[in-house]
Amino acid sequence: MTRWKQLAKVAGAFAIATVLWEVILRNTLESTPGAWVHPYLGKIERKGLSVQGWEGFGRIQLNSLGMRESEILPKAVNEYRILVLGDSFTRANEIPEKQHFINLAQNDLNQWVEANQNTKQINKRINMINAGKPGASPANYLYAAEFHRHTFAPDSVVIQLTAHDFTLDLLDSSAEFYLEPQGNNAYKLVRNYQFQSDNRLAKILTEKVPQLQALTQFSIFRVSGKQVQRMVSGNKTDLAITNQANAATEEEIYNSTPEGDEVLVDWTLEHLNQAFPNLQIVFIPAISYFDIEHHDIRNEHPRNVSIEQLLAEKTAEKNIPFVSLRSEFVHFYRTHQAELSGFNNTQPGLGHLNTEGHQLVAKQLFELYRSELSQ
Amino acid sequence: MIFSTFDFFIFFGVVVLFLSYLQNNNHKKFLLLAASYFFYGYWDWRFTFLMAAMTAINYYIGVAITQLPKWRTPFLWAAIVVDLGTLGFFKYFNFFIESANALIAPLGLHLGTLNIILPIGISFITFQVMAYVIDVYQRVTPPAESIWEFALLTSFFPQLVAGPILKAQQFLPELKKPIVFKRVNFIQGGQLFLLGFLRKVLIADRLALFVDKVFESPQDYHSMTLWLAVIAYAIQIYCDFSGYSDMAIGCAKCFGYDIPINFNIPYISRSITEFWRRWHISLSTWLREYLYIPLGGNRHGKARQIMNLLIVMLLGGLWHGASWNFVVWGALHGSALATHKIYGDYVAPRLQIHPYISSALAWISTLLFVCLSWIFFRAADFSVAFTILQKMFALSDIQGIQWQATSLKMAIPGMILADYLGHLINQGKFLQFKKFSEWFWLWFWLMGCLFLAPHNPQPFVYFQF
Repeated sequence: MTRWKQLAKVAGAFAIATVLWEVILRNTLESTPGAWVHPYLGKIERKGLSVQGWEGFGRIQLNSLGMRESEILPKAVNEYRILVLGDSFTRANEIPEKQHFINLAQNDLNQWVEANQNTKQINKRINMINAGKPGASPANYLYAAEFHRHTFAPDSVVIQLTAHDFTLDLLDSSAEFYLEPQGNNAYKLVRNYQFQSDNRLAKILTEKVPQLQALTQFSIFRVSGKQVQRMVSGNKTDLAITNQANAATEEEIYNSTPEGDEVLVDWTLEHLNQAFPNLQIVFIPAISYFDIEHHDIRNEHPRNVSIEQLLAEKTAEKNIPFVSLRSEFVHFYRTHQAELSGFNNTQPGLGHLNTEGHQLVAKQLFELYRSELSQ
Repeated sequence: MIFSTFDFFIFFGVVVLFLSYLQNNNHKKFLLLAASYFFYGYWDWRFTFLMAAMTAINYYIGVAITQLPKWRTPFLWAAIVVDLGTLGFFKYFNFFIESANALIAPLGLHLGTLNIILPIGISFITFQVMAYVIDVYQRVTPPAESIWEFALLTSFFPQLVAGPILKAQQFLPELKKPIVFKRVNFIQGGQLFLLGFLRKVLIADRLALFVDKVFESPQDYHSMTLWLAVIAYAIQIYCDFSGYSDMAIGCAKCFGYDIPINFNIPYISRSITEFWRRWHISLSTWLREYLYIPLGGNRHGKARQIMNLLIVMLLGGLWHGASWNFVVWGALHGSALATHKIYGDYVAPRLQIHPYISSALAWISTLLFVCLSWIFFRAADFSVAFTILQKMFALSDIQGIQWQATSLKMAIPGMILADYLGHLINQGKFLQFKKFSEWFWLWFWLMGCLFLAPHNPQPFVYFQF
């Protein structure tokens, strides 16, 4: 009897500690409303509250399309709608809503419209929609292009790109959407129906014991899965070097400048331009702040630099407005000695854009559309 | 092998398993000795021979000192020469050559350096074996009964690479105890280990993410960021080293051995003298007993005492590492100790300040001094240290990153809580796992380690010494 009593004590204490940690983690580190598979958008989060505290901190309300937005209403008559597509830099879970570049740019644009109502042709309310999805690449945007056009009827589309869209994601056959080279400078857009969560514990559970899949809704399960995964893999999972990279090291990927990059960039921009009306490209560079101080700014991974140059050239050829944040970021850093990425709980200069970074992106977006709408 | 890695947990589990299987106490101690050599050799097996050689030489010199009274003093000096010679060769040879090169460079001369690997924990091992020989010489302790006993004293894995520095008179009697696994020892030792683990993984390793980055290129950061990084480093090094000490003491306790505490809430000190009574107690005790007192201590007047303090702290600084940074750090502490001595003797008695105010001022000034002196301890070289100091006090742009941008919001309360819990455990007030709440706290903290640990297990800072 005493042994049973002791066992009950241990188990009860374990259960209460587990519940308490679930509450703590759910409110501070990670909470997800779960995921489902959308016919066009792929695997997206359910409607509800998402919390993450790994990088910065965010409590984000997701709509039924897994977007960081309230439900999207049909476009109003006096609405100028800008759809912003991008990856985790656009979703920006780590940034509060009011400091997000989309919110800042939208406010600035609406103030500008209001102030110039009588002199400008446009006197519509600007509505920018955040359709950022972590892990997305241009393959996602192309696959869902028709859905986006019909659902949102955007007047203009901003696509946020990074170099790793081209170096890592677009040709990655383990991604949910990717491009398959077809020869003759062509690619086939492929949807990977086998795509699963990158949380290894969740993956194992889904494959081996699907009856227990509901466990993945619990924060303690998700967080411990990630922690164990990172301990085992030495934190490699943050950098999604997947199938495409299996044969090469990280250094080899970044330091090479394959000839195929030019074709890939050209093909992607061409198809994005065809798929979306009034397309604008915003490029977020990966900046090595240490190199800014000690070396030449271009002393970075050659492939990233090459992708950025290709994007600038090809967008100019195709008449697509293109903004790279590089010079703004570097100027800001040199003036204020503050990195545009990095958060309270991460290393300065690494990771996603912080509030200062978002302010600069917002400023560039505002300038882009101010000149666009003034014409 | 780092205490906070899977490797160590597997190693420790296997050692405990085998020890509990063996019946004969001598076999158990031999197994513990073999495990300690494996632990040391896991990093680089070649240096196990160095440790074995130092053990044998010092043991037999200890025997000779006892058995050949006429030759006691020459044997003592022989041990000191061998021990300091070994330490000097591995740790300081290149340092002195490079320093000499800087001096003779104008003459167009250059001396070649050697490609020497610094054996991990060499400073701790050297001080420990030296203390043994000196104690035997001074008849403070009898020599170890066998070389195996002395080998275990020297190599006992929980404290092997970063202390606490064990004195023979403290630990040889412990080693005579039979190794019997008792629930109470496991409970207390386990809690101390867990506390050390929390200090190391949740506080020190997390702060290292920020501190390493800022100290790598301080010129890139604002004044306020540098202030925060210096405060963060003060907490990091304390939690790192005291975490290691807690884990070492906790491990030893599981085997039934008692190792004295190495830290006693040092950041509440109200003078630098008090700080050194609370910080790295085994080192400050060693320096006092084997250097300060033999130099004359306070027995030859104030001026000599001050000189002795400076010499002891300069050498104490150099003991930490072969770099002029550590010498400066030691000199700063030596000067502070001397200043405090003069202040305590001549100034304090004449001051009429409310005790609360004087206590507060004393605490703040001590803490500020300790934090600032850590800059020399952490910086890679003088230029980095002076860049940090210059920018900290220039206050050219005080905006910087927000204070909560440094994990300090978690580290400061975490450190206070850990100190409080450590204080309770050291007083014998640890969880007995009889009550429901005690089990709850165990689960809660174990889960906390799993959920909140950063993903970069860092080597302990003091491993390099």
